Amino acid sequence: MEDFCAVYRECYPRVLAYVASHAGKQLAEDITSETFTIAWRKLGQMPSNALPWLLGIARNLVREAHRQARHDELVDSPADDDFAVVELREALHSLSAADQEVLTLIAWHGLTSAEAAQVLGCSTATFFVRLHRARRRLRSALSTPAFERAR
Amino acid sequence: MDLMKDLARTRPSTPDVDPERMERDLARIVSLPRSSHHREWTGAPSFRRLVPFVVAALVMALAIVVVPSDRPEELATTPVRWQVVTRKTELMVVGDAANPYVLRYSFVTDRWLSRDGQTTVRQGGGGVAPFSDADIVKWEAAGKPGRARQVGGNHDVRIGPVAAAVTKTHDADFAISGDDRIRFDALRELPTDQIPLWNALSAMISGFDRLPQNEDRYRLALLAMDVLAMNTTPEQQLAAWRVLGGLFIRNMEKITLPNGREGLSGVVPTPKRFQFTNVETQLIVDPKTYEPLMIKDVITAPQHGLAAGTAISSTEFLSLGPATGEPHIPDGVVVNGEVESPIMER
Repeated sequence: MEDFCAVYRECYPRVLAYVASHAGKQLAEDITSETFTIAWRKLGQMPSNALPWLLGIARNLVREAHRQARHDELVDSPADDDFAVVELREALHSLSAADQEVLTLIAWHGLTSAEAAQVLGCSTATFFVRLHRARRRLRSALSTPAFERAR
Repeated sequence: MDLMKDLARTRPSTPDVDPERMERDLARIVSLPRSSHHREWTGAPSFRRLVPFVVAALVMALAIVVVPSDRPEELATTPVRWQVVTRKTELMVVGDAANPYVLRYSFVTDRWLSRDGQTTVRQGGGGVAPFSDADIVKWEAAGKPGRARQVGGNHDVRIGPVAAAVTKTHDADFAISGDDRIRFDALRELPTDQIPLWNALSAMISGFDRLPQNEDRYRLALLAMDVLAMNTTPEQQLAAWRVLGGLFIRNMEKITLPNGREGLSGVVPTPKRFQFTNVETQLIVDPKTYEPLMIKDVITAPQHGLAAGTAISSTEFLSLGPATGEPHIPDGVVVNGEVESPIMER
């Protein structure tokens, strides 16, 4: 139990950040709490590097939340940023959900490729391929005018 | 262009961690049953090394300065008897519902506990009277009745003194007021760490995992206060204090009681109360000794002519500690005789 508490306190901020970025701040604490509740019930399956495993649980809960709620209930409005960031964000959002997920696990949540692969339930080699393709599509989107992407 | 580095800048703002919510959730989660097919997770050694820091962080989160208990050394041994003296008060709304007034019921209880049973003495001098000057005026305007109708209830309240009474039981399993009680001489077997103690106390409340969230928190908090009031060890008291910290919904405040004693006050939500709404429970503990000082149910919005912040019921711990000799029985009072109540059938 002490180990679980230590993992909880160490991973809580990153799970919260992951959930907030995908489901919005309003639901973030509740989904994070549910993530750890499930983790507690499956404590015997928790690997020593628990974060990817926890994010995998959170990912499923976020998907469930998306199924049950309207999109605008889940996503917070981004703060004003400089133009380059706005462009990049729009380019990111023009990609498929799968591409966005591959990219953000690395860029937003700081996971290694091996950890991100664990979250997605694929091999590291497969993840590298997906990441490579997602990066290529993001570059392509960035070089395409926004009004073209919107078509 | 380092695409991934730039992409990191598009990350939505990260919400701040609410430490209270985090600890509260943790305490709730680890109180839940786990899958029956579990094995104990051994985890990375680095996490185990963090445990002392985790404990320290928890204490900081509670804004408590942890010092060795200043309670007398004699608490470390199981005494023959344990005495807890409390003053209880309760406000009751009576009269015409359109223009009610408030009565205050107050009495002192002297509880003597031993492995052979407990004796509870409701001391003389208690009784029911109008609460404030304004309530006196209304009561007098109503003709100074000897009994008044409860607003919203089916009973009357008798106004005047309430006689002393003594009840004595030979049950040895009484020391903590949970649904599932614990023997006086088994108190020292309670866990000495926060989470195991949380679990043990939760298990004493029947249907704990099915109670509304506020009610489970409230009842657990009262049990933790019981642990502080009993002849438990300093380690158990510290664990109980930390259990309380995990239950509070607001940061604790330093409080000075009318008798000059100082304590830290934490708040837990209160289950639905008769006659009152918007009620929260304040638990006040001396952080140096972990002695409970007071439990107050306080209204947070004006009602029935009472200002927000008024305590509608309270239990003040006047003294607690090991006792010698036999319980003092007031003159003329029959043990296990009639226990007069000011609440009467209409």
